[in-house]
Amino acid sequence: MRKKCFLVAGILVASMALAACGSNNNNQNTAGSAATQQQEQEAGYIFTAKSQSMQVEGDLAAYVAALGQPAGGTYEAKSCAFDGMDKFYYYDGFTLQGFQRNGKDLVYAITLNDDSVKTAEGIRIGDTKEKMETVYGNATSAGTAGQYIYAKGRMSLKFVVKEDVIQSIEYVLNM
Amino acid sequence: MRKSKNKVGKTLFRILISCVVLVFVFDVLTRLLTPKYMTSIQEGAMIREYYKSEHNQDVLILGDCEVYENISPVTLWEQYGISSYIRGSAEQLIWQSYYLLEDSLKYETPKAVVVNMLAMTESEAKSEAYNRMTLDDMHWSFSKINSIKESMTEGESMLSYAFPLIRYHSRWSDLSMEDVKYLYKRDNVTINGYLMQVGVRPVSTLPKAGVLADYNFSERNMRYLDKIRILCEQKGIKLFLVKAPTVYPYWYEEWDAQLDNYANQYGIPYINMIKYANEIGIDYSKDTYDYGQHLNVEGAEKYTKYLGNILVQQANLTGHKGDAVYENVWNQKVAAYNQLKEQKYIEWSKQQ
Repeated sequence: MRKKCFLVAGILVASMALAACGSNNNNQNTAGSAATQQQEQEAGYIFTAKSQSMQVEGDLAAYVAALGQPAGGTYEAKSCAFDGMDKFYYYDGFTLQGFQRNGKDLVYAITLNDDSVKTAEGIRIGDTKEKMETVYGNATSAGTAGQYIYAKGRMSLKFVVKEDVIQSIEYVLNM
Repeated sequence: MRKSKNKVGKTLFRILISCVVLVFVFDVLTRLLTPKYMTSIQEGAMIREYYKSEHNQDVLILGDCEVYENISPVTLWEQYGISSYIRGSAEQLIWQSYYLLEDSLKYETPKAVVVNMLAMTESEAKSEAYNRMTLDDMHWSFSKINSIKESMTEGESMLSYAFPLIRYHSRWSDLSMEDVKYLYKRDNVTINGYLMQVGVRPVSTLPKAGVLADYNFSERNMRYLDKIRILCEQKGIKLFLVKAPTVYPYWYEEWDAQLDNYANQYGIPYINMIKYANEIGIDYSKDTYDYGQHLNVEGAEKYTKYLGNILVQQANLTGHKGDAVYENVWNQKVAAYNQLKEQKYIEWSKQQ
């Protein structure tokens, strides 16, 4: 009888331990991320076009309402399996890419498409790598060949450089 | 002496019973808490269905949603008498395609293998969630172990694949009747790996391409493409590389050129179906259910007819029409396919 009790108790403890694992891990993750939360709350780089300031994780619907419907049209795409749509708004000179979080459309990325627009710090497609580094300093990290990444808060400002000339500029959410 | 032997025997018996009970409880908990994918995210249920299939296919098709939503095995049968199975999964990576091929070849040796090339553009696994949908239901083998090793993202562990309860124990708060209903059995969500989609959401704007820092396929991806090619050569299987006729994600000329060069170097057919969309008869105002990212069933049937003709011509497939064994099996699949299509159209029309 005593052994049976120990057996049942053992099964119950094991089950509870497995269930508690998730919450324990969550607690550790919460404690461990405190140091990074401050960094994440730092505002990222801002992009301004048509007098509208925009940023990654900003309210996509509000930006579109302010900018009007894009001249280049829109496109929606979904993932292979999961819910939510990626939305693309093709404005003159730049593209807004949105994603859905808790049913709300937020900005995932802002891509500058030509030199008719520039970053808030004055850098355009076609500018030199030297000018970029004069304004932004050394990149936080270098991605694949020719990619220079400046991380700030929860986003990154990414430049693609070929033969010392900026080919692409993108504001993107860090996932 | 006799008494002590009896005592040892009883103790051993109790230990054995305890172990059996523990294993049973562990098994039930694992089955209960593992996601079933029967109603939502059905892509998660696809990999396990292969093991219940006939394993006498002419063609095996590998890849992500560009195969399992765009190619119809029933159409290949109806048009050409070709038997096929799509071992597809959501966001299937090229090395996952290789290990699924390796796994499949333990059960059968098809005459042809078709691999969609979109996965060549993904150099890293996107998430554990996608990995799980490809890996969890593979039967245990070195193919599965190696695929897991290659795929694991930060925080994943081989132990959690060996004991899914480690990963899914926190689902206890999300349990539903589906978890109880499908504790010991699962329904098929596909027909030979094809996940049917109906409805029309037309392409009105073509997505635009951004500039990439690097267009080269990763060294790892090229290595696994080589492994697929070599494995097919060793087994006498005709390999076809394809790119589905879809408009998103954008398919760069630089990617196309790399595959053209590879295919020419090794004498393998590589067909970029985007270039043949007109010839296939794809009408992007009618044949897509999600703005050109995937084809609906009408679009899939058109693409399949075109692909099937290529397979017949270049893989010398003669088909099995008139073979009673194949006819019996495939007639049932055709009936199920048509019934499903009708049912999905009714559901779609109710949503309009």
